[in-house]
Amino acid sequence: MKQTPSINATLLIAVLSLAIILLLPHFVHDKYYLCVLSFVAIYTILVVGLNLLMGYAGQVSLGHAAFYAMGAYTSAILTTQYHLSSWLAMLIGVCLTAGIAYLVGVPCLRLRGHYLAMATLGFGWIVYIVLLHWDITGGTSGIQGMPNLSIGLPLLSNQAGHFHLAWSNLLVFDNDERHFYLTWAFALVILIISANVVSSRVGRALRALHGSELAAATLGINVARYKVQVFVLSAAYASIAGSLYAHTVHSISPSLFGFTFSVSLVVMVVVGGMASVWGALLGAFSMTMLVEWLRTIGQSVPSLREFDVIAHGIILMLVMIFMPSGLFVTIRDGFARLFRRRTPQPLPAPPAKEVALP
Amino acid sequence: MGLLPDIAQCLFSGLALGSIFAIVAVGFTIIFSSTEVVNFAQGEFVMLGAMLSYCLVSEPLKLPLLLAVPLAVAIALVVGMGLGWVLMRPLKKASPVSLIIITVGASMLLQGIASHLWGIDQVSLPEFTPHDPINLTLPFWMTHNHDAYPVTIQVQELWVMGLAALMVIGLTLFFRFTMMGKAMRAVAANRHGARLVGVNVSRLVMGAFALSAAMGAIAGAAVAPITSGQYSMGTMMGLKGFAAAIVGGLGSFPGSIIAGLFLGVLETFGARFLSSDYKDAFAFIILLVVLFVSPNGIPALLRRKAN
Amino acid sequence: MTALLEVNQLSKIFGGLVAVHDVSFAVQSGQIKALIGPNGAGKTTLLNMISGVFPPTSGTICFNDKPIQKMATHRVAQQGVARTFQNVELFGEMTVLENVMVGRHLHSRGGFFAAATRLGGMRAEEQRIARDAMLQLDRVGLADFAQERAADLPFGHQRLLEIARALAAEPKLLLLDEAASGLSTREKSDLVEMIFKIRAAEITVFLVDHDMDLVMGISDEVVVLDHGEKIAEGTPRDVQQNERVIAAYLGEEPVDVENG
Repeated sequence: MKQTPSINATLLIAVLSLAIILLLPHFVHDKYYLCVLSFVAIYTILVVGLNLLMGYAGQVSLGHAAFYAMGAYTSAILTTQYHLSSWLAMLIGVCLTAGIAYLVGVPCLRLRGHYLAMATLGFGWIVYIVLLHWDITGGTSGIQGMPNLSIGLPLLSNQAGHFHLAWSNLLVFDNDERHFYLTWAFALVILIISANVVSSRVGRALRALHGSELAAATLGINVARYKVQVFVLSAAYASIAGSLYAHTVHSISPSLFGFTFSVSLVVMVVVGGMASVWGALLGAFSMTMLVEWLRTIGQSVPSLREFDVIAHGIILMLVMIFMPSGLFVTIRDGFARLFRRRTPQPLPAPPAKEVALP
Repeated sequence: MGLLPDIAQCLFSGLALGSIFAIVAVGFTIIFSSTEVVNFAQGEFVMLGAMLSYCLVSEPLKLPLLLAVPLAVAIALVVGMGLGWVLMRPLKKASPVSLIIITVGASMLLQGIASHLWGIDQVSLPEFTPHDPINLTLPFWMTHNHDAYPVTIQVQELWVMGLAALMVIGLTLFFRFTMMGKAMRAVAANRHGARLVGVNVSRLVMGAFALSAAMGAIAGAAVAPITSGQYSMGTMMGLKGFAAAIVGGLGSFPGSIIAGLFLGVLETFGARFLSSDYKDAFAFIILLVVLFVSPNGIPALLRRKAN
Repeated sequence: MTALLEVNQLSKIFGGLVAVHDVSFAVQSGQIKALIGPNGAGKTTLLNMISGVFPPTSGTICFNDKPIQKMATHRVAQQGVARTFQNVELFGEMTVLENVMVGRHLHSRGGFFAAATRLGGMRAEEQRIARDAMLQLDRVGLADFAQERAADLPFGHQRLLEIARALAAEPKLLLLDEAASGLSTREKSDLVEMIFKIRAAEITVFLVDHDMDLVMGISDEVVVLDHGEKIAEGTPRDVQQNERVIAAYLGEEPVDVENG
């Protein structure tokens, strides 16, 4: 039985997650794994957005890497070539990506099922090809040298006789631990926002249009508008994730934003559960760990190279065929059903029967 | 030198390229008409045709091309049927999007296996009939130029176009005269009705996949000597073939062919006269434009204008 | 007084097929009016046009003096038209209560921003929506099933849920598409009672159905459709005695002229 997470459950999970996140770096000593976990946070942001789109609104996007790229490249270009503040660049990135998502979404979302899938796919490819060949985006080598994100206070400084506004860097996110906290701070906020959206009137409207667009429309839900709004929201999330990536890894190139990555995102959504906000976290985490594990094995056993692509393919097929509502959601519902069966159900009152008199 | 030879060259190469797109598009159409599934792994059959041929002519088997290609096609056919079989169960109840995602998974799987077995580098295949390229100089009354460059025709390109044409003729006969072909047309027209009159839908699904896989593999084996083979060649082929299928109207056999040829010519002209960097984008741009303006393809648009 | 719903020379052509041809009738406010006709007469097509699912090929539909034939589905709903469906279109994965809460969509507030930040009195709004939804469930007698998954309900209850959901939108006109089909005799009489209660709540009812006893028993007026054309309109008694109606139904369901 699917239920929307109640407000209290959300709060509980959020607090637990916060505790885990705050304590984790103390237990994980290998910096490499902190890095991997930072990626999990970035992917979580991506997957939550895609999950809202696919799991709740029932639309599909096979080109979401394009929005991720837009955020990353906008941040990269604005900070390295125009020396804008990283936060401003991130904001501009979100606005730009959201705007493009709106323009693409309005005609795309009028399409049904497979047409939409292919339109997003085509769009993703066009963006990828542009990234490869446009000189502004640096071609195949991409862009490097993005600065770290930092929080600071504005102050007036006196340089060469006149005043101008400068920032004093209170906190620079420049090492693996700080990257970990930064990315997870963003991820947590976005998870909470999304959980709120899902358990609200808007969330119900989205699930309604997923259930039956026809019925939803006859109840006054502007289906087209909601679809576009969710699409734009998921693109905005992707943009934020891209900007975060740019400022933590300091180097981006087109190979990160191709079709393969769009598919990995879909796999994460499918594994984590199509209609579960926290499932997005599980999906991002488990798939990232799986890929890491496969990579580690692949290094020592050369015959297993490229296995992560095979693994993605197999997982995608198996889960979609046998557990279409997602791996973790199916497991969760399975447990729920197991526990429900334990409590004895009151039997319905037997119908009054005519007793045959001898 | 000279514009006309350039145009002629583009036209010819474009038609050769377009033949491949047309075959892939027809493959999509056959599967879609019979099953309402958009088979994302369509391009991988092209890749399998190329890579399996390469595998069979290389160490350790070193089969002659005449044996290797048919064998490769046969193996691809079996793989296609396997995919059809896997899709049987979800076909009944899964949403169209789930089915697409499954075929996307299949595509990834096949690519992964290919890169695993044959590596990630490009491989070259021998031509079917090794021959120097034919240089055709256009007559003076066309070019008005004594120094006009000749149009270069690779013999393998003739093979590609010839095989494609043969396949199209074969398919037309198949749909007209065989039981299964007629059954496929029936299912395409009215699925439920066809089942009611006893058409064995599951056998049909396997047949549709087998047919599409075989055709794609033949196309792949034919084009690989020109473009060289690689584990990732299926993606672009599949997508452009899909674009052609959509532009021509998903489910329309002649539409797929015309659209495929058109896109091949468009891409070649675009690469030569506009920008060779962005040539891959042309097919996608056309795809998006058509999806936005008339998702049921150009024929539907023309029909609407006629009304 | 102008009618609540006025349908004027409505036609719908699909490709070459004429589904509805030149149909005109009116539904007065507070009426229970029925639309009957043999299979394939065009009844559901007509309902679809009235509820804004697709536009007519020609003709007008006026609701509350407003032309609605070109309006998008959700806008028609905004005007005060709600409906149920022949093939039940519930939100199967959501709970019974949530289904009805969606019905409250038009009478509640809160967009993405409010939802995300939980500002603007969202919690109170949510409680209000849930309370109003429970009221509707009480009305149809499904209050005990509030937390059940909608798809798990027995069929008769699913039909009731659809009605509760439609009522939650506080419509002025309720369209019932084959609401009685598939119901047991007992469930049908419950449905009849409910329709009378709905009318008592000042909601106009326009229903499509096959069950003659039901239709003739509760309707104030009946419109008869055959092959897309209106062949009769009037009180149940008048319609039952109409020769064209009898001819259309000959071989289908014999109409008992004497006992109505």
